[in-house]
Amino acid sequence: MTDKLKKEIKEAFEIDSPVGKKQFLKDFRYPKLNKTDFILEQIFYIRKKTWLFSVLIMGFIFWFLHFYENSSTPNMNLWIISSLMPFLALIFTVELSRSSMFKMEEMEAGCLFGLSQIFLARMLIMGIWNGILLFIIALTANLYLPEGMIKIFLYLLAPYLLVNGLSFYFINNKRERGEIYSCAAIAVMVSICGMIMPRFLKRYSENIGTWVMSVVWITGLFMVLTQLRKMHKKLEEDRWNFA
Amino acid sequence: MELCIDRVSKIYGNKIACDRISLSLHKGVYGLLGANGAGKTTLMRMMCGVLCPTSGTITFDGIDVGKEEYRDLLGYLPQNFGYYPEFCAMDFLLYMAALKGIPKVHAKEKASELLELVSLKNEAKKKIRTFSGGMKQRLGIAQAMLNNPKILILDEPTAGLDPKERIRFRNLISSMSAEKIILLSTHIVSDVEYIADKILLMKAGQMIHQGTLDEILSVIKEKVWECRVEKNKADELSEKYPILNFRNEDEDIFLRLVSEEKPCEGANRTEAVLEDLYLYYFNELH
Repeated sequence: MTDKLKKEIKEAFEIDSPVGKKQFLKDFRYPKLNKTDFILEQIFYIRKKTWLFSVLIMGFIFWFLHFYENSSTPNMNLWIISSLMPFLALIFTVELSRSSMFKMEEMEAGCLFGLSQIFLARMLIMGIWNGILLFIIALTANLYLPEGMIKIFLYLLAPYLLVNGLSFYFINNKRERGEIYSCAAIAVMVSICGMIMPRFLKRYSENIGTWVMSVVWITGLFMVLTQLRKMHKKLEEDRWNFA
Repeated sequence: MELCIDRVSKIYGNKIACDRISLSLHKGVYGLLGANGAGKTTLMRMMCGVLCPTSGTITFDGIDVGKEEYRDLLGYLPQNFGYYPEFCAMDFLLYMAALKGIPKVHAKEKASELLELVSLKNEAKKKIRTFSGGMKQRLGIAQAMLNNPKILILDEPTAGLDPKERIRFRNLISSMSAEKIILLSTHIVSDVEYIADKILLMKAGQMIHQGTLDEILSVIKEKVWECRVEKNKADELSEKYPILNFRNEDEDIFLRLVSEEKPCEGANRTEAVLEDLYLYYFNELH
């Protein structure tokens, strides 16, 4: 077919203008996001300051490790790093309870990806992020401190889990909004305990600190698991009593 | 298209917020009226699947209210809602679109279209915390419509809107009524009167009336009277009949009341309006 013929055919036939195009486009149901896409999208809705504060905590720990020499008190530097973990845990908790803090629960609950899925997505994102941070902190601490990797992990995770466990307990049993202040208070108290604990434990055996941290670790893990299960169950099955 | 509410109850402790409510909603606009504490919000929350009924079922064409499939067809504006302070109007709509499973490329297009529809296009990049109550409400209405829902449930959507915005909202709802089930609750009786095809009246957790405007007004048809009387007589009538309006006029008092028979000399029968019925049912004097 020559170009001339093509042109003449084009000119001879006039295409009908579309009928009901606007309505069709309006009613057209696009393929929805799948769960993975939804979780990936949620990464962009984690607040910038959440990323920033956690990186700042990590940065402070690097600075401390680099510039502070070992103290005479056993494990003192590890105790100090450990006492910053409650603030990392606080950032995690604040991000998880954003919906309730800003009264978005009801609106979010009525969406395709309901509140329990938003909660799980945030928990997954923040869990992975904090896991990476803790791992990097532990690796770096291992370069500067003599305690060994297992002990470092124990000291980092114990206060982190304890603060998360206690915070989730407060969120699950809240009577009024403002639970975030309780969580902040818990983080500060656990952090202060971490600071003063080595001075107090100095008079006992050198290993007592490790025993204390092991107990805290087990208690914290137990609380986190039970309270998270409770929290998810509350969102998924019971739904709220908004009254 | 049928939203079926079958003997739904919600009990909080000893209080029955909703008492065995049964309804069948089809395409059109339904206005839910009732005094504070009548159970409107509880019913709407159960219809949106955000609150579990104590008993009974809610289904849309056989799909249970608790299913994701149902939420995909739902647009909901709660009575009291917040917002994330770091969001601008566009961010908010994009966030809600993500929760509704709308891919970003379509979400942007839809969000712009809706911002224009609710007259917030120029404020798209402004932080929500700088918005007035009416603007926040309009943004809430826009998010409810993001997924082109088949069921639109709006709890007091006109609260905080000025008269011009209310009229715009009414027109918007009316234009969508042919293809959706729209349920809205409000205290502004005239909004319901103008746009609702059917009116649902709730009192103390029960659905006491449902029907078209004419059908529900038949309860007080030819029973609304207006008269001008002296103060003593006005007090006497106030004790005897439900008063719809009580107004001082010079030395006399103007009364609008409901009565089976002529309440006094000089009283004139007048046409009943929805507000009369509302006051008749919900006036505490009654």
